[in-house]
Amino acid sequence: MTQYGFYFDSARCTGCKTCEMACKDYKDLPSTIAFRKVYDYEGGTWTDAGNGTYTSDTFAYHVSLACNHCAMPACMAKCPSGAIEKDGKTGLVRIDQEKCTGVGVCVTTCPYNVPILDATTKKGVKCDGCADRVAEGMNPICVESCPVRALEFGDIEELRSKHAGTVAGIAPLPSPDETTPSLAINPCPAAKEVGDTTGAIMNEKEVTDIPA
Amino acid sequence: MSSGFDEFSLAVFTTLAPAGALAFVAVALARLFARDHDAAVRLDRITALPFSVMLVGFIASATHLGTPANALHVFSGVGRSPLSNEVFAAVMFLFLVGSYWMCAFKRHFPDAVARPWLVLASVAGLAFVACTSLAYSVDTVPTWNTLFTPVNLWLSALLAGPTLGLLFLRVARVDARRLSAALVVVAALALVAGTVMLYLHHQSLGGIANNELIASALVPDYGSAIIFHTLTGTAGCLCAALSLRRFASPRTALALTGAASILVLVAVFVTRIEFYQLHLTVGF
Repeated sequence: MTQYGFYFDSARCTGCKTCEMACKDYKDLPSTIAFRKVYDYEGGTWTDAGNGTYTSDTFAYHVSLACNHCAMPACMAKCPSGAIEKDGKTGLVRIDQEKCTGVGVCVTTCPYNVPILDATTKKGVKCDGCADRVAEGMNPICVESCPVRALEFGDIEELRSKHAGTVAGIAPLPSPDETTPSLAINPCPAAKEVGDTTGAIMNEKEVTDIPA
Repeated sequence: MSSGFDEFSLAVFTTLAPAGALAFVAVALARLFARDHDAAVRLDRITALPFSVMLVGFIASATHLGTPANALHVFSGVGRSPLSNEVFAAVMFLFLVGSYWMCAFKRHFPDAVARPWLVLASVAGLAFVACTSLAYSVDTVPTWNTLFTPVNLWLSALLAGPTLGLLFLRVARVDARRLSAALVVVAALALVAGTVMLYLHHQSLGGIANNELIASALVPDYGSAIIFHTLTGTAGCLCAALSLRRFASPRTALALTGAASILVLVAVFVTRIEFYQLHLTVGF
């Protein structure tokens, strides 16, 4: 099996959220649901040197995140109705709407805040890696839309060998040991390591519950 | 951040269903050792009560299914998904108790059939409590994936179950003094142990955090909830103990055991709400 996944260049991302909006448009999502979200991670302080000068270690960067189509998806492992499947050819993880009970175990277990309960259909929904486009040899819509080409999609091993020095997680993402995400991130100079406590997600209302 | 779980309905479920299961075990024990045929028949009829408590809890849990029409798919995850195991154990228990209750209406219902059936149903009840206690062992949710989760659930069930059992024995007008006393002792011990474990659990939360939150910030009222739990639980156990006194008239005893049941269920419910508020993944 080829494991498909996303490459994200955090040194290029400006946090414009075109990827998120292109996805919402293509997938025709309501205002309350986004399959790709851009997290603004910021932190640091100003220190008064006492002589009229200040030093700063403030930082800010963005993490564009959709489903990581994990090698060991926590959502799939715990779904009671077996509604979450990993495609045998592409490794893409999808929710079978015919089997989903809407119990929300995937929402509870995913450490990346990816699956969402659709209030209208009462079922779990999430990024499917634009499987229909991929089957036709195209890229997912978010990848195509990025104005600074910070996103790429493909065989995750190829992406990792193509871009030297990638990691599978930077703050605020959890340690990749948890679910083995199919994700390759080029960390920008400001990027903090997984487990960092000096920063926080600054656009929390935007990326959770999304009241629009 | 947002969880798919509905705190209220799941707190109702994990308060009532394990209590109903253990209350059934108490009734079954009384039935197994009943010498008087009339008392045995009354106990057979009364199995409908723990069954109903369990069923109400089970229905409450089903209300947080978004699409109940697909609920049967849940059985496809038995053995793999802890939630499927829990639902399967609940259905087995409900089936065994419900069918027992109905078959016990037969004019000829020999003990040779009743006894193994009761034992089997009791084992299913214990298995259900065990499965429920393990349903929250999820690697990516560090606040639930601790030893405190199963221990607290068992101790809650051992507080509320025997107290409800005591009430049902009263309703069945069965004079099982030694069993009744044993039930009160079990409930009181579970309250003491449960309070200690809740306190230790509260202390442990400072050590659990993800990138954004420290677990203790999710439950600012946990300390007062534990105090409320202890006071209400103590009042419940006192009522249960008073109902055992010889001078208590049957009506007083029934009222006392009823009050005891309500008090311990409230005590358990408060801690269950706190448990669901503790949801936190390793991510965000």
